[in-house]
Amino acid sequence: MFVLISCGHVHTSENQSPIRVHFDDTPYSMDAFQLMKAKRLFYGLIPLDLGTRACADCHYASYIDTLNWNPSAFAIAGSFSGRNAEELLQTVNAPPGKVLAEAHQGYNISREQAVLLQAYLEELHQHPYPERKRVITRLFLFLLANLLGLYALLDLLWLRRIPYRAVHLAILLGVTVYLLHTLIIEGINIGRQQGYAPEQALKFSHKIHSGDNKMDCQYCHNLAEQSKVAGVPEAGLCMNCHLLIVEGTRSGKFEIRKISAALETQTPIAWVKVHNLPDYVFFSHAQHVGVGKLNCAECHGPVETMDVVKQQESLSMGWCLNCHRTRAVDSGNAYYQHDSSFIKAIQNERLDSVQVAAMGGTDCMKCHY
Amino acid sequence: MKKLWTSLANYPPKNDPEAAKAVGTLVRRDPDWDEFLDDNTLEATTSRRDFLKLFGFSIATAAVAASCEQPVRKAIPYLIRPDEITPGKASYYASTFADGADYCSVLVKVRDGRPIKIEGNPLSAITRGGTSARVQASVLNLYDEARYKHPLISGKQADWEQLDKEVTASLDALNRAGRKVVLLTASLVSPSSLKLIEEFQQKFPVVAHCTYDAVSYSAMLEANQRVFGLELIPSYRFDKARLIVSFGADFLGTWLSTVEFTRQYAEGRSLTEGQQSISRHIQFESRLSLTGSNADERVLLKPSQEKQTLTALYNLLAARLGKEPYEDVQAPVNLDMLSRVLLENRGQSLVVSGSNEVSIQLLVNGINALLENYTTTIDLANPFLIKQGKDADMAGFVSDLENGNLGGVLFWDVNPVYDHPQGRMLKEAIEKLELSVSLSETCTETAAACRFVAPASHYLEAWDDAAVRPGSFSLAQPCIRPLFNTRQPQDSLLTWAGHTADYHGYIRQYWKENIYPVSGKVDFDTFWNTALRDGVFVTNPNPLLRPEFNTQALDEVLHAHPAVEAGFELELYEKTAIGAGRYSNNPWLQELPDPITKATWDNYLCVAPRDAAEQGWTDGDLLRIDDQITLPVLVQPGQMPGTLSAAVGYGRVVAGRVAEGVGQNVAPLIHPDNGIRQRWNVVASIQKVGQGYPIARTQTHTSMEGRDIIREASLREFLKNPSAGNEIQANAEIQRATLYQQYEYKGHHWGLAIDLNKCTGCSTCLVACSAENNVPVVGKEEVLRVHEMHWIRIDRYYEGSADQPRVYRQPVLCQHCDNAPCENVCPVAATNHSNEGLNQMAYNRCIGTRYCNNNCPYKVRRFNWFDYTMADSFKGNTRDPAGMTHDLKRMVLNPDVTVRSKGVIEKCSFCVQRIQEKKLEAKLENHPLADGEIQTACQQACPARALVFGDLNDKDSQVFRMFSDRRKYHLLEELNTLPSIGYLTRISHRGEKSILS
Repeated sequence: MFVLISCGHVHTSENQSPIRVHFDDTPYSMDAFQLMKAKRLFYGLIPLDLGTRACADCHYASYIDTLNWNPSAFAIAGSFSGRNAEELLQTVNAPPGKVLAEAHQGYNISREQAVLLQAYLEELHQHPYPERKRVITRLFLFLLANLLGLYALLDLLWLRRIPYRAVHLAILLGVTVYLLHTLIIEGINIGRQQGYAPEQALKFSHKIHSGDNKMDCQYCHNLAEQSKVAGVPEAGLCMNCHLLIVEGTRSGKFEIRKISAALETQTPIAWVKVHNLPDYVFFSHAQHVGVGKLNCAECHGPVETMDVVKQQESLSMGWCLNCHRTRAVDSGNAYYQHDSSFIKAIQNERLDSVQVAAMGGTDCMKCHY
Repeated sequence: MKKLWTSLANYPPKNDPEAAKAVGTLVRRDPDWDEFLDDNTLEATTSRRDFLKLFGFSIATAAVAASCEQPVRKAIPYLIRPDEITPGKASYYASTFADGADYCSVLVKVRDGRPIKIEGNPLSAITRGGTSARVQASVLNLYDEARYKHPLISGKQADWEQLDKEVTASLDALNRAGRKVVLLTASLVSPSSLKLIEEFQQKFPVVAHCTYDAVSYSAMLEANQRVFGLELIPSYRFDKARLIVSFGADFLGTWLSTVEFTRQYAEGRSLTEGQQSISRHIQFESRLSLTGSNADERVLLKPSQEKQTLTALYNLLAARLGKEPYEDVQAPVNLDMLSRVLLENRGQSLVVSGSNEVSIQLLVNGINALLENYTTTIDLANPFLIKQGKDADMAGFVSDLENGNLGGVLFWDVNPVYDHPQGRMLKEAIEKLELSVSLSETCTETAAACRFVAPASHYLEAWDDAAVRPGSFSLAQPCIRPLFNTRQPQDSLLTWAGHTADYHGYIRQYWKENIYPVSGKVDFDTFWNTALRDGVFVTNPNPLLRPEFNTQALDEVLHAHPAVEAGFELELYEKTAIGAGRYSNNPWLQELPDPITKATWDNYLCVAPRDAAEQGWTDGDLLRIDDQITLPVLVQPGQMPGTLSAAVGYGRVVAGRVAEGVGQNVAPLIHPDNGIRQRWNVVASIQKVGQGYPIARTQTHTSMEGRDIIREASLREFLKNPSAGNEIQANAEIQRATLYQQYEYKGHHWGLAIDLNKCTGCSTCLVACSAENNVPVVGKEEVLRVHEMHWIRIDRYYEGSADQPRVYRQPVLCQHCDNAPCENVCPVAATNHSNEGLNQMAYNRCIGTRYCNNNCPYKVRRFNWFDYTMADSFKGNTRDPAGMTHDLKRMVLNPDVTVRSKGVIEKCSFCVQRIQEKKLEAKLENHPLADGEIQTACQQACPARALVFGDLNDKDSQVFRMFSDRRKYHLLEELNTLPSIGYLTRISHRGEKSILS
């Protein structure tokens, strides 16, 4: 675990392959000095021009946890890598789309600057910055508490530097409570991802699609009623609309372009799965949406308000079972006719409904097999 | 009560001096191998250091757990989703398994684009939804890492263009020079491929087509040619035969169309639909075969005595019919009664022989002709088209090759270097050839000797068709794009012949020209699509044929009685799972216990108990035969004294990591007689060269002695009293009073009925279960430690003397007891009862105490001693004897079933995923579940239809009817476990007056 904390990205210039950039037909080879210059240009340490913002102001070259509609430096690097620097010059100075044109108003980079920026993007593409490791405060605290408790114990028994026993006891009590609390809470949360909101391969906003444009969930997740999975929409489905809608009001053309690029390059888009269940759980959307007629939001929360989808519920077994214990089955479904006792009770109005649990909905092998 | 014993280790039964005499000595495992079985983990003690390590680990885990992050999982959708694929839902495609040795019409379960399970096709008139172990296991061959991944030239990776160029150039050159090229194939049942070969021969006239079957049926072809003028193998109707007499033909295990014959045989012995009679089956054989173990009467006969016996039988029949008998021959058994009963069943009997001697097959034909069985139980008009290889042709090829008369050879689906007795010579000759091409799918001994390897696609990646019988056509379609850079052999031939069309176009064209016109359908596309959907297309069979019987052919052979050398007679046989060895790299087949010996992962020498006692051989002794091959001894009750038997299909040298080094190749011991490869020979020398070789058997440790486990009655008793043999069941029902609250099943109550009259013990269900439920492969070493994992097993018991035991068998799986002993003892309630009667097992809750395992009276629970399938990510946990942790092989896993990790118990779940799937479908389609809609994997695979699953609360269900049968009983019902599995007593002619005494 100490490796986890201390390991960092060691960047040496020896093992770098030289960066080569073309402008028209002129090749440029970049040495370390020029690359440093290029980086400073991107970050605005060498100003591009008076009155304009540096590239890095909008196109972050670091990971952030809020949604930035502008493409990140990495995304641009991925898109422009291997291309001619002239294209970069064109895109910056005379952008193709409306959103980008507004954002890039007043930019007029030179040929030399374009070459440098292209080189920086190439460099970034080859050596993207490592994702910054989260400082594991909880682990530090946990170990610190252990040490503190140990010291208090040692002092109480042998060292006797602190004169008052009450201090020892207070420390020990505090440490014990803290440690137990951490162990229990973290133990319970092992494997759970409530609040998980990962960055996706493209900046897709459910708020725009489902909230603003009132699209039905099942237009895209159209297997929810018939299959185990709800279905992540294929790029071809996106193109039903995005054949016409090629520019977003905030993201411009860059994000939407990724869809057609996926189709052109025959590379499917790799989405990050937000709602994960352990391997030993069998969950079927068809059972819940198709048969149980559940609303998507009951498990997925107000997705129509989320730019970045977040796991709303805990998806814990207790959470599942709560629902199975309280919800009634659809007694109108002809399948349930085999259970005559329950059908008769409903017909005789001795029961108004039967809970899922009463039909075996809390049996292990409903979900675990 | 019968005294049942399971193996010689617990034989003889106590206080049975008669039995003790028969064996003489007790067989014990060699103590030297105790070490092999025990890795001393039991003696390890927990030291202070271990405690501290554990303590430190817990603290560290807690700390890491407090800070750990979940892995990022990706969801990668299609770019454009094909219409027929619904992610998360399985599609089924009809296809055909036909490899020259077996034929089966199948449905392929494809989940998210990958085939994961083979099911039988119920629309096929031949197999009727049944399968065999090899067919079930064939899906794993698709993901075999021993498959060729790209073309090879001289063992180096090449591309198709280069290979095509060189092969075509070479073929052209040989063609111009007029040097003979042989295309050696297994029996081809594909009519379009046969036409393609003709066209290939037109393009290259020097190419000759020769058919070679690893296990030859040449004698049958020749015998039919001689007496009827028809060179064919007829179709048999075991269901129409009231009396079946088999001379060494293992028709339920390996002989010809076993899936079909098993179904017919089971139908002939079914008593569930009010039938009043069952067929009678008499088996003459030297080794205890699967078929013999099912027989009503089994007669021990050396292979050398077979001809003599058949001649005597022919003479008796001829005499009784007033015809002129042949010269008097003394049979080793009294056949008088048999000949009388055979004549009583004239036209309703069937005599078959597994021999590959022409004279014997001629005699069998003669007997069947006397019994007027042609047109009733034997159909010559509609021959069975697999096994077309003639040994004379092959012998010609071998001598051509040996004498350097050949310019080139193309091998398609054959491996003569391994399975031909002259394999070593063939290898050297092939290496000298100008052109040697292998169209093999996986690496084989023959392909390794060839200069060019044009790798074939797996049958699930290819188009094909089959006409296994006149009027019965079937189609095979690709269910997945080729995983590797392979091409089906037909496409290779098309390319080399200069065709531009691919085989898909070719097969369509063939069907359009040849099969569509007889279909009477209006539109070809509709016809084609229907045939492709159904997998089969049937036209009227040929009208019955009663050809003239040429008795002269019989005369010629009957007067010759060659003397047989003295000495042990060695019979070479196929095992039901491994067969001729083509699929021996399939770990499911290697781990499938032999139905009789219960041995896995080996071939061995079956020795009669009396011989073993006389010669001082015991299990595991190593015997060297003819100074060629060394095999371990397995003392097999029911083996004819003076005979030995060994299985072919083992000892592969180039086959992949699973098969290599498993067993010994006995092919060099195959002796030809008049050019025909025999199934037996006389051993010249036997020498004991070692001892203590461990044979991994799954049933030496289970003994249910002295209990009424398998109940049997004779048909006569049954007709008098339908509860015959099952009288104590009534008593068990009465004694069910209890103080405890019983489960009440308001909805479904799942149950499974097993008809012991139908189960032949073929073990197809084991493979089907493994494929469906991700059951791990544990390997030989773990089987030796009694750690095998099969969820269903077929128990085999012997009764009577060791020389001539009666064999009983019974499929045992989790009995899903209402009073389940396992449920009460689980400390964490990981196993408990569902409201539908299932004994549930939650793997994620199990902590591995194995209390349930100890408390289960049926011993059906299995413990994961290791992580065999890479279920968890702890490296040290895995044990992988068969490559099942590789990504490629893991593609076969059923995504609906949890892959179990180390340290948990698992067992039969009644295929709960199938139950849930069908329930969900019914709910979505808003209809009640129909009886028979849910089929467990074992039930679906069973060629005999011995298992019936269903809802016991549904009074109209088949399973309820079977549970209401007076033959029904439960296993160990005196324990009052109230199982949900019911067995129907075995009703046979055993115990009636013998025909042969």
